[in-house]
Amino acid sequence: MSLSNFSPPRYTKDGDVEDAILEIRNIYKVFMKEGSEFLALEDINLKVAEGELMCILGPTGCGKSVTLQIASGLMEQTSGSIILDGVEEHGPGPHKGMVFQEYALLPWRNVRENVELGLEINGTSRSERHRIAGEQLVNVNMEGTGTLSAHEISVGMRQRVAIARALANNPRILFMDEPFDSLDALTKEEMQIEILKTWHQTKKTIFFVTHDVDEAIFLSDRICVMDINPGRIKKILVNNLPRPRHEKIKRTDNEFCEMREEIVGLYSSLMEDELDLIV
Amino acid sequence: MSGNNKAKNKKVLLRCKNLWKVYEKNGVQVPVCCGLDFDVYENEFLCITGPTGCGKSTILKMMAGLELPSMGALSLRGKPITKPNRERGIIFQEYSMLPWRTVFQNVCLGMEILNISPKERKEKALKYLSLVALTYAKDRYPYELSGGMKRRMTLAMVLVTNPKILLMDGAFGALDAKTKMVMQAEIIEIWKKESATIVFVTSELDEAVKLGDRIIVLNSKGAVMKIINNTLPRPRHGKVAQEPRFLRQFVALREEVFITLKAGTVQKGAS
Amino acid sequence: MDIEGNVSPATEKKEVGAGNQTSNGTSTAATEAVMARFRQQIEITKLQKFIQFFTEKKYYFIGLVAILSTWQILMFVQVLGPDFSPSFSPWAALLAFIEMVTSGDLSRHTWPSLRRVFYGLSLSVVFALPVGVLIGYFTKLEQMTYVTFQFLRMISPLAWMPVSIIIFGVGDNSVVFLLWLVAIWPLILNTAHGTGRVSQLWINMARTMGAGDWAILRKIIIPAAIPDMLTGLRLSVGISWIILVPAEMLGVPDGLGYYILDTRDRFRYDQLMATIVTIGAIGYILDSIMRMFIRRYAWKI
Repeated sequence: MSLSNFSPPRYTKDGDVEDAILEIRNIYKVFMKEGSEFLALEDINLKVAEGELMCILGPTGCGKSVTLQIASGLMEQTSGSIILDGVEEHGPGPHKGMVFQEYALLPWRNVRENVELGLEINGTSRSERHRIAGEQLVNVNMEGTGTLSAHEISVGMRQRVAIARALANNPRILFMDEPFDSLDALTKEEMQIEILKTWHQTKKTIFFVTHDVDEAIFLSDRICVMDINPGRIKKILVNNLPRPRHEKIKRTDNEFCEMREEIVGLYSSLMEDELDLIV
Repeated sequence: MSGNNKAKNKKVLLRCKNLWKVYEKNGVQVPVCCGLDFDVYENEFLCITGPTGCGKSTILKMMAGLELPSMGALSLRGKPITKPNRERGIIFQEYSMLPWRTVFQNVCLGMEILNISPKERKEKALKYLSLVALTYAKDRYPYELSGGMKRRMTLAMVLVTNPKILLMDGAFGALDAKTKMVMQAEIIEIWKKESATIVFVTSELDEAVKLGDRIIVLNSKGAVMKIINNTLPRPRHGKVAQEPRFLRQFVALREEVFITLKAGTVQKGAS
Repeated sequence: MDIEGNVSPATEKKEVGAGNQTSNGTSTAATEAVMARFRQQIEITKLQKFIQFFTEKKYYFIGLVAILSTWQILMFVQVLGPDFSPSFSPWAALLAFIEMVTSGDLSRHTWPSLRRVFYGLSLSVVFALPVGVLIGYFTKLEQMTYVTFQFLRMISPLAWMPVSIIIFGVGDNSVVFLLWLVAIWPLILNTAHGTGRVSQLWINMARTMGAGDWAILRKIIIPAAIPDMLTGLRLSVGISWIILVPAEMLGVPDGLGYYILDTRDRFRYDQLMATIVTIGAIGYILDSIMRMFIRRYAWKI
């Protein structure tokens, strides 16, 4: 699919997509916990369209992180299959970019060297590495910081480096596991706007896991709302709020509030102390 | 506003008057608190929030008497604060319990220091352990506890010494989201039950809005941007918090705090 | 990862309950099939773990047997010459060991050695712990003693032998003094280290509860330094036991060090080897006891 005629994905009436870049098919996951088995995921079926920003939303224990780890190949499913570009996938790889909550930057490397890590592993030439790393740092609005070391930059900037590092491998899809969860409110908002800009520029497909309702509404094209005990998909919502979000909509606006209320309403059956979604 | 009325009727417990704190860093004087002027009322839940490095933790340390202000004065019921004292219990951001003591022994620590008899110690320790719902774990060591349990334990350690004011420094920051929710609801319960006065420093807006009667927003320089009265009805946790009407009020107030915070923050770094 | 790693113990119980609920209640046939397959896989892993346990442990025994047989074979081919080799072999040492135990020779020499080490260590604990705490607590004192202590601890206690004999004369007291002298350094330095790095957080916490200096020392600093004290003690036990043997070669009428010389003089090399092995074994046991002590009494984070 050429980048120039990129258009937002079209959905069928029930919020599904026709041709998917990533398909999660009948995924089950069972764990052993304290001597008894625990069903973490039950029959997860999800299609993600090319260029889409898909948010997986749910409280702790709904298996949203497990879903992401299985989809990205870091964890093996008990049953079911992951299909990327029509091919069944096993294990992680550079075409599936990962951004962790804890940044996972290597402290003995500077910013540029951190971004270049994946390229070094692939055996890309030095000049090519430099070019790509520079490009990706521009993408995340970090130009001119290549020589700083990881501990010299703020937490928001570390997360940007982590995003640049994942993008440097030119992945087909970018997995993000609650990446902004530990950030303060200001940095979080800044990073949310930042990731949307990067997404517009690179047109990457993003698979974004969060337990923050407002974050999911602010970012997503679609929200996959998950339920717990066992972890399963409750509903997939199409998010038609206008873009760019940070200019066209406020969190106190009626449409935003309605969407939030719909999602919170989906969880009304849960016990109070099981609910840790934040709005 | 109703908040102002409430304030008028209330007695001042702790008073900050033109409070300054200046640190010297590489020969340069860096102010962290700039002329803070505010009161903490009896039985109030006061939240202090602000951007990173605005000196919110320093304020608490000065209230506790662990650090002295460079200028200005702090007083508790008119008496100036000069050194740490059990009247002002502080709960640190880090877990401050002693790892070689069991939960029960840790809770007894403050009373041992005060030379309270073993019998009375046991009685009170058990009372406060049940208040924080830790009776079942009283003989465990800290390394056997989860984050939330450790937090409850430090809470009991301080409450048992009967402080007049409870100072909490980013207390729930390190907890996972679910435990955080539970702890927030619990601290409100304890606050009501003990009719305590709490000063709660947090960097999380949701937390400030959920907990506080008033929210003091600081700016990057360490001065007060705005004191916001929080008129959200209580309780603010559980089923009530899922209702559309409450949600909208909540989001509107949080937005107000957020905008105030943003206006007072100097952006550092690349962007 | 999410399920295994992120769930805190406080919430764990609840979730297990919830898990059980699904396997009993709402599960469909498809879910049941997945669970059944999972159970099968688990069985295999359990068996593998069982085998793995034995595979891991067996090398301890193989190693020991290998070394003993190498020793025996080397003696059998008479690497030390035809006169010496037979009596140096492990088999001869074992026979001599049995003889020494039954005749009471071994215990006659072991107990005095253990007694001296015990006295030396006790005296060094009494001296070194307070000194270590003071040095760790008062930075000025640490700086004042730093050069002297670092300098003194590098001197082998045996160098003090003549001095010790002038002061205490030949006999038990001299040996105990030397053992004391070697045991204090690890204890002082470790105690000081442990005392010095006590978290400011704990001290602040106690101060806000109204604690004065004495209460802080008693309730916070000393207990906080206990793991380091025990580590120091373990090092002291080890080094005392090592120094014991040469110290006992200098004029005392009993003890394992003396017995080494005695067996040599009587050309009983089998007994000599048995004594050497005994010294090693007792040292190993003492160290194990200390390790157990540390596991039992050092607090964990």
